[in-house]
Amino acid sequence: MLTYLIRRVLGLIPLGIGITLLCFVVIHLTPGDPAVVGTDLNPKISLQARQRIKEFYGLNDPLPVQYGRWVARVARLDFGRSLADNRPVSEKIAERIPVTLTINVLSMLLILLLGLPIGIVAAAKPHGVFDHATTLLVFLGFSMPTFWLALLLMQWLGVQWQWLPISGLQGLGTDSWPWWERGWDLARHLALPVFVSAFGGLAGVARYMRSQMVDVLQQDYIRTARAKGLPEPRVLFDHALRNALLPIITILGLSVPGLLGGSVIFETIFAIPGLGRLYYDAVMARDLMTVMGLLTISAGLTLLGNLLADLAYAYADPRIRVGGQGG
Amino acid sequence: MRRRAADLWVRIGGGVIVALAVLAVAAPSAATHDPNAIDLLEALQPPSALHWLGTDSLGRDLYSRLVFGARISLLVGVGAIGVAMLIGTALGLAAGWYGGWVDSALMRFVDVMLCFPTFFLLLAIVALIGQSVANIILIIGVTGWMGVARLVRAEVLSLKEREFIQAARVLGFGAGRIMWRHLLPNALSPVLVSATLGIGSAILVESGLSFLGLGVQPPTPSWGNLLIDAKGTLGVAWWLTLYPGLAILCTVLAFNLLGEGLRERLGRS
Repeated sequence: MLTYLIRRVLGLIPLGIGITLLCFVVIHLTPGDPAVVGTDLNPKISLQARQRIKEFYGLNDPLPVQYGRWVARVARLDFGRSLADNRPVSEKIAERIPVTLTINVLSMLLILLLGLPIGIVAAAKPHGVFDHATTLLVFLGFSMPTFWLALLLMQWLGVQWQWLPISGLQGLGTDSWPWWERGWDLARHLALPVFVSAFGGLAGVARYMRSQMVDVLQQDYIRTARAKGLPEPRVLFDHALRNALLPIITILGLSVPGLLGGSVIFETIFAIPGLGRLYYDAVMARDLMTVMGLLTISAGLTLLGNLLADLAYAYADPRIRVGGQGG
Repeated sequence: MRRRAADLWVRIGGGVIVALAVLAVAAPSAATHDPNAIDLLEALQPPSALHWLGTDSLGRDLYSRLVFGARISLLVGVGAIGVAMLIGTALGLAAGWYGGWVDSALMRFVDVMLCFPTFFLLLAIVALIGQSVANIILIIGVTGWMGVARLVRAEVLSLKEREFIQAARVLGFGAGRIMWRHLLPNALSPVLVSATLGIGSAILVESGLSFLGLGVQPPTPSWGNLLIDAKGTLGVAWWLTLYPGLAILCTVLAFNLLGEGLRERLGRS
């Protein structure tokens, strides 16, 4: 297991270099020097002063040197200061991560809780009524503009019937409430964003689970289990499910960038102060430092997600970690 | 059974897409009003005989704006996938054919691109180069070619060992000729299926960008920016929310049905 872990982590190094290189290239494609933005229109700043600023930030050094210095700082999670409010970018990101992470973890749980059973039941009777209904759900899930779904839910559940709050994470004047009422208030605020962000992924997982189960159910060991007279539920859950579940782990790891990207849209709609909203605001304000920091962090989170998925897979399936160079 | 369902999907999806394309091309005569004509006296009217799908907060006819919006959505969807196919096919061919370090370098590049949330990349590049229709097409294409590249590479790897390619090599044909005349035509059908599915998701991406105000600029109607108006009139004018979203949903659904139906047929034959 340890050798497997080491091999996996070493494999991340070239990806890390690629990610930081791409981020760095994007900064330098941007018109205007990052450190001179905000001073170039100021007549009080002389050419010499601007030169000193450039020198101070090391902008006169060759690009590879600048890249090396930037990566060294990124490795210590130092992304410089925001061009919008001069606060350290890492601090701004750190205070937003819990919100986005909570919503994404909750929506992942919802996806698994609903998607896996739907896929299993659909696969148990291929081409039955439930299977066809699942196909319809999958098509809807892949074709639904989630921001429209959010607008519809806001329109009916929020505005028309007033069942759920439609923006932010906290009601007005709830600070003095006891913790259980504040918890209930938070849950009500989270309901719509979590449901909306889970919707598309739900279809994907249900479909994947279904095809995985259908495949496994055609294996010889399933026929053996049925032939020796095991009841169908035991065949499904003890013999088929365990093997069909394995690839789902990889899918979960791969879904990280999609969830982060999707958070831009629903955090903007529901006015939730998370990473997606921070990114949107930074892009709109041309706050390059924050944009670069978030791009790097989001790619880093994806790597982390893939690594965790690989490790979980290796833990669950001994063939992977013993299998040598495969994968 | 499965086969019949797939045929049905292809017919429904294809029919909707053809109808939509006709509507988009004939937009000036299909629309009942000028899509940008402001009439404040007619603002926020519910659907009626005069305004089939109602009017927005400036009194513009929603049906006419939807019809003209179809042009943008189809153009961006098809154009972006065209760009993605071009990049993905070229890189996938090169990676699969040359193998070795070319292959590893290109595939690592694909891995790196896939680490970034697509929407993050989209927003950053839109903010950098500006948001004309041509730019939007280019950007969605540039951030969406990775799947095509992997697909083409896999096809090329399996075709490379087949006799007719070996024969072409033995006959001394150049790499360019083999790729263009022999590999590409044989690798094309799975690529076209994934392109069909890709058009649907490109339309979704465009509408999302427009909804965030980073897509096609108003007053040019696009289905995404029609929904910006909807957000401001929530609970007042349900038709402004319902119809543009339905248009997006049905269009993307049509492309997905067509793509999945074609994939199903391909798998059988």
